[in-house]
Amino acid sequence: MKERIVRTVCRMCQAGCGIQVHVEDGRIVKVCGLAEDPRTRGALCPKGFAAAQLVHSPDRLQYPLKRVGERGAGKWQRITWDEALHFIASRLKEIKGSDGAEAISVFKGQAPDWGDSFQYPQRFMNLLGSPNLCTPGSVCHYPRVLAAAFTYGVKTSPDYQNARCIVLWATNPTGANEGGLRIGHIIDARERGAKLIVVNPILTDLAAKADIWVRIRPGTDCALALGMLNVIINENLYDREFVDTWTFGFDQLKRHVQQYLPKTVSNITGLEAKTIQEMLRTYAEHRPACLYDGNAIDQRVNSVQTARAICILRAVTGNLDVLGGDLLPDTLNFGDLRLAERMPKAVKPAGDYPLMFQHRQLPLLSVIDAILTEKPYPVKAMIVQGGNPAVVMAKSDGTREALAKLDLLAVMDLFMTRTAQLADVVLPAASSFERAGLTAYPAMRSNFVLVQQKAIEPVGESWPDWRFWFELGKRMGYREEFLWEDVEETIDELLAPSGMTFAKLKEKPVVLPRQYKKFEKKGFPSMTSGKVELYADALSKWGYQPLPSYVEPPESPVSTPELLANYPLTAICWPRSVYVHSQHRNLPWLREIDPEPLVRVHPDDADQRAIRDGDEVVARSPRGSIRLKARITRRVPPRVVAFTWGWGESVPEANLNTLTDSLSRDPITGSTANNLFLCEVQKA
Amino acid sequence: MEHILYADIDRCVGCHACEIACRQEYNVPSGEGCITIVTLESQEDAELQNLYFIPVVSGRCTGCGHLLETAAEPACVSACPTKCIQYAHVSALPWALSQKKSLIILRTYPWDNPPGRGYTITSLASNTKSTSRRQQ
Repeated sequence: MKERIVRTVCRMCQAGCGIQVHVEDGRIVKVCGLAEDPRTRGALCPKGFAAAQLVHSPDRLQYPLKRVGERGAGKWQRITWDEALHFIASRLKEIKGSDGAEAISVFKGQAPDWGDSFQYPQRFMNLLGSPNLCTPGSVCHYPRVLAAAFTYGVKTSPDYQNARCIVLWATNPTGANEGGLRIGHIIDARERGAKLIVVNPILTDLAAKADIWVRIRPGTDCALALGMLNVIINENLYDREFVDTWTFGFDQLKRHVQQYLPKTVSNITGLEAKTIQEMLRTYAEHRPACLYDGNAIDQRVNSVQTARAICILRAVTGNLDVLGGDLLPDTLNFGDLRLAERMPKAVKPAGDYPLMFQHRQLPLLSVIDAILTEKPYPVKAMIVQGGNPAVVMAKSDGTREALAKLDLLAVMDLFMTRTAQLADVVLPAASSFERAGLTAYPAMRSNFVLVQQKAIEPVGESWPDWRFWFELGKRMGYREEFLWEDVEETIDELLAPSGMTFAKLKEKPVVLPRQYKKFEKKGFPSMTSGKVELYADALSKWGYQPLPSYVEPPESPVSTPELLANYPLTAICWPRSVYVHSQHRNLPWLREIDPEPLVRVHPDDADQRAIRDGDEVVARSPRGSIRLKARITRRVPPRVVAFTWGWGESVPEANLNTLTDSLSRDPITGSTANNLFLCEVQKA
Repeated sequence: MEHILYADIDRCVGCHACEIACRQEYNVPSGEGCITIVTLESQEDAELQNLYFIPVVSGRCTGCGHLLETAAEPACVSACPTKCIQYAHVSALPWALSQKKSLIILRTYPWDNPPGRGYTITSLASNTKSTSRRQQ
């Protein structure tokens, strides 16, 4: 058969880069980058090139399975989709009848994307009447989304191509490509003379290329941002015209940051005062500047306020929505299929995180707590789609205990994950290469509107995620609300307000023209004042702090010195390489590059413990212990060790979340410190 | 020697895209690709930022002759997100070196380089891109 080439979106991670998929006899034979994608310019990361090994993996689930033995014993019986849906629907109806709809929860992971595919479970749960749709959002993306929402309305994206200064803060754009693979833009900018500032305790690949590498003490980023604001405001380095015209609460901010003197901040962050000075002057004096803060900010207990302090920096330096600065999104207008008005108001979500609930990003741990404690009410069923909570959530043994206690656990995935192993029913999911979609990136959140097309038919009896919700919805009695036969119909509904159709976008992606200073016409999006709220009145109405303050991490050499005798090392996570959380270790090409879980140790700490490079070690925290190999490197600072994240799926004895703490949480989002705790490492 | 594969190591971020693109192009198992990224890190604190990623090319590499016939680039070159790896006629080298001192030559190829494994091509001479470069 002749080779076919399909232009689509890579969903090996959340970046959503444009790709060309070569298909022969119903199989993917090759994946290439898409030259017309302005973010990648035709390049791709290793994950994309290894896509065929995911799609055609011998480990793919081929048909629905029903548990026949003890839970977790691995005894399964093949069933049909009809039987699986009947089983799930009848159990859900029973539970709804006995315990109310709120006893039914859904965990939606990142794998099926956050574009159109997130609207279907939301629609389903709104119709069912359960508020307990949860996600990993509390430790990924949403702290930064909420911070931006309460400062200037919407999360920005950095304009690397036109910036005179780029700040990469707690991020690793080489391996973790939020919003698209844009490392080429950064390297180009640096070569044409833009200043590069990297804030990271670890010598990342880009820290090595930085003009200023700010080797901050882990977890003290908020103090650094507030200290920068102190000097930028006191020394008049801010953009006075912008601040006067477009911000609210500058005087309160000015008073508030007086406590963050350079000397104070130097003590907190472990940075020399002159590094802080050099860094903030470079940032303030090389405009336009863009500042990108990464996922490490989310995995903290003071996550939203840290991200808020960074949002305020962008605003007072006059970098919002200017060429070369931090851009507000230019996107199409989309419809809304969620039916939020059908959700009964009286039912409260299992966890008290109202701002997360508004975004339907309830932190999973609040539902896990409800399963274990039956407070505020029992939760008895969970449908997991494209996520692996049994290994990715803080203190994951607690999560596994809760999942095992459920009356119904249905898991839809490509593989028999450790979460799926605990299920009553396992459903085979089609990969992103086997379904059409309107992905968050790039289609719904960027100015490059590229649609995801089906490259091949679903493998085995696997179903695309949308089909599961449409069919389950019908069986739960929402026949009228799930009338669609195919996802292309719903995508057309989502596109209707923009006048586009899926068919048109399949032919040719659309690049929307960039518009700058959009706030001059319409004010800042969804801010009641239309201005940037440096002082966030709206947050104080919810009972949260209206101005960001530094909070020492709950477990650190400063806040818990009593732990230092047994746990003298600060643990953080090593930057992501070729994997995404717990995914992709089963792809041989990627596994070769990053074959095993590692903890990176500074040579001084290794010498003290007689650890040599490659030794098996045991890492202990107050919660538990894991086994893995040590790598000796100066790229981590002394008294800090860096673990590779996400190995709990393929190497259970190296699951980092055996060590993490699930009890200390961010008050706004419920974020846990998955990449910051105390530990000790010793030879095994 | 007419064509060269070279890299600007100042632009390499060690992402490994070239490695996997090469394995995919030839559909070879792990360990049998033509290109590997080697990381070099300093043992001196004072030179800590001297961290280098060096693409190393094996003797197996043919320069993706089969791709050049359709005027494309070798798989590792088109894969690279930072355009660190380049394929060019040797005559382009003096200009490239005058722009950047951080170039290293990864491999040289004869003009009639053999096609990639599993492919046959008639002649590289029909490759206009390559021919025009040759005439420079």
